[in-house]
Parts: sequence; C-alpha cells; structure tokens
Amino acid sequence: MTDLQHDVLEQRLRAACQAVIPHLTDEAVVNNSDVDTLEAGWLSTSEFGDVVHLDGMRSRSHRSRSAVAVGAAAAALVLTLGGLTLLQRGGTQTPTTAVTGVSDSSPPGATTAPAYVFETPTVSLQAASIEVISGDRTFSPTDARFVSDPGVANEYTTLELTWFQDGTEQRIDMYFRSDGTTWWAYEIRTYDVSQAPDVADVDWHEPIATGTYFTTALGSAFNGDLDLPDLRITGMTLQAFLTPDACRAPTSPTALVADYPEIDATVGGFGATLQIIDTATCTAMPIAPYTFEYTSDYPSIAAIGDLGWPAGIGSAATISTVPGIDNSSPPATVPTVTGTKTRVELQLLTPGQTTIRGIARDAAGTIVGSATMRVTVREAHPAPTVPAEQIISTTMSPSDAGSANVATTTQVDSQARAAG
Amino acid sequence: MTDVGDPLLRRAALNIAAASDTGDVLDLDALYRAHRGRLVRLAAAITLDHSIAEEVVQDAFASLQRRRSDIESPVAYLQRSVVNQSISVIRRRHTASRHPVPVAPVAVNPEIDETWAAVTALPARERAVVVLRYWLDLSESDIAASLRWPPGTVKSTLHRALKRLRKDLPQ
Repeated sequence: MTDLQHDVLEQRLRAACQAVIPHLTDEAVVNNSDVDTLEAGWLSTSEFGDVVHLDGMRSRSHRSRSAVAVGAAAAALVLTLGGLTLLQRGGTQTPTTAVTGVSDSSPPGATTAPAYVFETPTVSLQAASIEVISGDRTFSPTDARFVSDPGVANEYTTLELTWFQDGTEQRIDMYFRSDGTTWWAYEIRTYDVSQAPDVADVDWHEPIATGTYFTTALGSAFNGDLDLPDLRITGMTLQAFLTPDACRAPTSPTALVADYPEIDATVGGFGATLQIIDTATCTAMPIAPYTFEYTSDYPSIAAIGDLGWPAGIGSAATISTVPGIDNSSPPATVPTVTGTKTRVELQLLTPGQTTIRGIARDAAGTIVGSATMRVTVREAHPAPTVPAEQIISTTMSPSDAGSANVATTTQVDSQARAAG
Repeated sequence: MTDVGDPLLRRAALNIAAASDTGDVLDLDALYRAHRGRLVRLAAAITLDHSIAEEVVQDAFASLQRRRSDIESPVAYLQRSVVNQSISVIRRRHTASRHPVPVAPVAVNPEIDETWAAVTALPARERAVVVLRYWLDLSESDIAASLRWPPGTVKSTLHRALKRLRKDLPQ
C-alpha cells in the first residue's frame, strides 16, 4: 500500500470539503464517532498551551482505597472539623456539609472547616487552599461560580470554577472520566483571562495539564494535594460522579434525569437534555425506543424550540425514537436523536421564571419517568457592558427598559396563567 | 429556513435596539445575513455537531455585539471566534459527539465519502486547519493571521493532519 502523493491528497481534500461542507445545513450534520480517537489526538497536541504531564505533578496524595477507608477518613474529619461531615455520597453515608455551595475565601489552613467547598450534582471539591499561579501573580477563588457539565452518568463530567479577581476573570476546569469502576481526571486547565483578552482567543491561551489524576474507586473520594506549575490545591477532598438522587433510593427500575434541573441563564438559547437512568446500575440507557414530551409552563418566558426554526417555538414538543410516532406537536421539525440523551433547545425569551416538564414514555405509551427543570431567565446583557453613548441614543433608559421587560413578562405570565 | 424569522436574529435585534442606534442594528443585521450560514457550516465542519455549531456562532455574534466598538474587522473577528470556540467547545462538550447524528445526505462519490470520513476522524484543531486550508482556500499565513496562531503552529498542525490523512487514505 502506497501513501497518497501530496498533490493528490490536496485535490481530494479540496473536493471533499467543497462537496460536503456547503451541505452541512440543518438536516445534515456529519457523523463522528470516535470520541476517544478525537480526544486522544487532541491530547497529543502538546505544543498548545503549557502541557504538563503526570511527571510534572508532584502529588503528595494519599488515595482512598475503599469506601470503608474513605468512610473512616470522613469520620475522622468529621471530628476534626468540628461536626462538618465529608461528602461521601455513593457510600453508606450520605452526609452533607454546612457550607455546601458557598465559596469561602478565608485563609487556608483553617482547622475548623475547608476554606473552599464546591458541590455540583456530579462533582464535589473541598480544599484548604486553591492557588492559580499566573506569571508572578497568584489567584485564589473568591465568590466563585461553579458548574459541572453533567456529561454522561459514570462516564464523563467536569467541574468548572470561574471568579473575578483583580479585575480579571480566572478559571479552573477539571475534566473527569469513569470506566464504571474508577474515576479520574484526565485534564486540568487554569485560565487567566487577562492573558486572553477576548473570547475569540480563549482556546489558544488556556494552559493544559493532561494525564491521569486522582484515580479513585467510583463512589469514593480522593484525598490529598495537587501541585502543578499553574495550580496548587492543598487539603483536597475531591469526588466526581456523585451518585444521582434517583439512584440512592430508587422507586422504579428507571428514572428520567435532567442534566440541568436548575437553569439560570440570560435571555438566549439553552440546550436542555434528559437521560433515562437505569437505577440499579446508575448508568444512562439508550433513549430508543422511548418518546419524550416537553412542556413549558410559561412559554412566553422559556419556549421550546430550535434556533433553526423560523417561528416554530412553542409550549410543547415531542421527540420520539419510536418508529411511527409523529414528532408533529409544535414545532414540527424536532430532530430525532439517538444515543443516551435527548435534547431540546429552549428559547429563553424574557426575564422570569418557569418550569419545563419532561416525560418519557416507552413504546407502549407507558410513562417510565418524569423530570422538571426550573428555569430562571435573566436580562441578556448587564448594564455595564452597554457603552454610555449608546444608551443616550435610545429613547429608553436602561432602568426603563428593564421595567418594560418585567412588565411585559408579568402581563404575559398572567395571560398564560389565565389560559392555563 | 429564512433568517428573517430566526429567533436568534430577532433576539440580536432586540438586544441591540435596547442599547444601540439604528445604524448598529443594520450593521449587525447585514453581517448576520451575509455570514451566519457560512459560519455555521464552518463551525459544523469542526464540531461535527449542528447544535453546537449554532451555539458557537450565536456566541460569536453576541461577543461581537458586546465588543463591536473595539473591533476593526468584524468578519475576521467572527471567523476567528468561531474557529477557536469550535475547537474549544468540542473538547468541553465532547459528549455531544456521542449522540449519533445523521450523516450528511450528500450525493457524493465514494472517494469523497472516504476522504471526508478521514477528515472527521482528525482531532478538532487539525480538522479546523484542514477546513480553512481546503474549504476556504486560505494559505498557511492567512490561517495564522486569521486565528492569531504562530505561523509555525499552523504549519506543524497542517503537517500532522496531512500525515495522518495520508496514512488513513492509502492510494
């Protein structure tokens, strides 16, 4: 077998790109498939960013060997921390912590509580200290926002922290995988936005640390420190792939789980996804052959639709993977997907709150699960981003505009309630 | 589908109307109409996911709207933003690629099918450079300027991509 000559290869590439890409329209998206290949190829691109392999990590970690060991460690920490319990979901304990969801920037080394506690539905991180090193400056989270890409149960998830400090945006992103037995982080990024002045260049400026970090049994937490050139975390307790509520005390063989049960976003679009979980194994099931029905309590606030629909946003949609089921409820062109997730595009239209309700039915029409997503829609652009001279040129002050939006929302909301 | 009724366009127009003058509305409107389709296809060619591509382009226009007073070349900005965000987002949200989506229903010959399949198997960054080089017909230096990458990086990325393709596409 002979490799293609360079000019022949170029001709073929030109022909393929010209033939295929112009047709990548709403109905035609290319199939790729081998995520692992793609990912591996990406990770091998070592010249981009500051790649730090495992050798560069001077870990002083001691890893949990079993849920029992972690449980014992947790119990010890409970005593040490004066009543605060270590997150140990998925084990025999389901404790909580008094400061869950709060980013506390108190000085590290405190003996009474971890300085940092971040918990999302899929990842929990507690730490005594977190330091991002960018040049000769050091940053630590203060009032950090944190979120996880829910990914796929027991396969993939993330933890992403964002905060503002000294006038710049800082980020820490961790990417996790699981093989169903253990979990680990395969990449850690820190991001000093002051080094990347524009979102257009975000990817180029992100330092990357790739390797295998924190390998721990699924259902257990990693305890230890992380010491990378760009990131130091001490007194860390980290657990990815927290057990979903639906699997802790299952009442049925399957459960419908929303990736984002709480959606808090600005006016715009949002991809809402649901997955059916096998509650015995706590793994995602194929969405075929099921039918998913979505409704919005107040479509004037959050409608169900796709960016591609000219005017096809509405209060309800049906996505079916069952042959013969018509996806014709408005809007009429909901794409059918396969895999382990079903997704609709939410159009967040006006500030307010509403609930999106999802129901999954099997091929016989029996409901196999339901889920809700509480949606809070906020103004699209905060006032500080609007240049003053442009405000002057409008007939409405920012406060007037906000009032008008709120009034409109209330009015439509009332109408929706009356109609409902 | 018409862009006229597109919710994104309407949203963009509404957002601008709340804080801008008529001229800006027309400018963004014209930009949107002229370039959205091409940018979505560019993003789709890199992300291999139309939904993500739409989001990337939406974000690019939103960013442009916020920063328009600082940006001298909006089209170049949009393209750079779309390419870099496509590369970035596909990593962050690679689970989307786990959702099999229909293969493009394009009547092409087997050689083109085989070639495009090989392109889709490339890492996102390499695929981006290939698409810019062979779809938009940009030179290596144009790609470097467009993405604000070092020229040597573009060259080495393209070299790696072609080496991989040459291996995957035997004569």
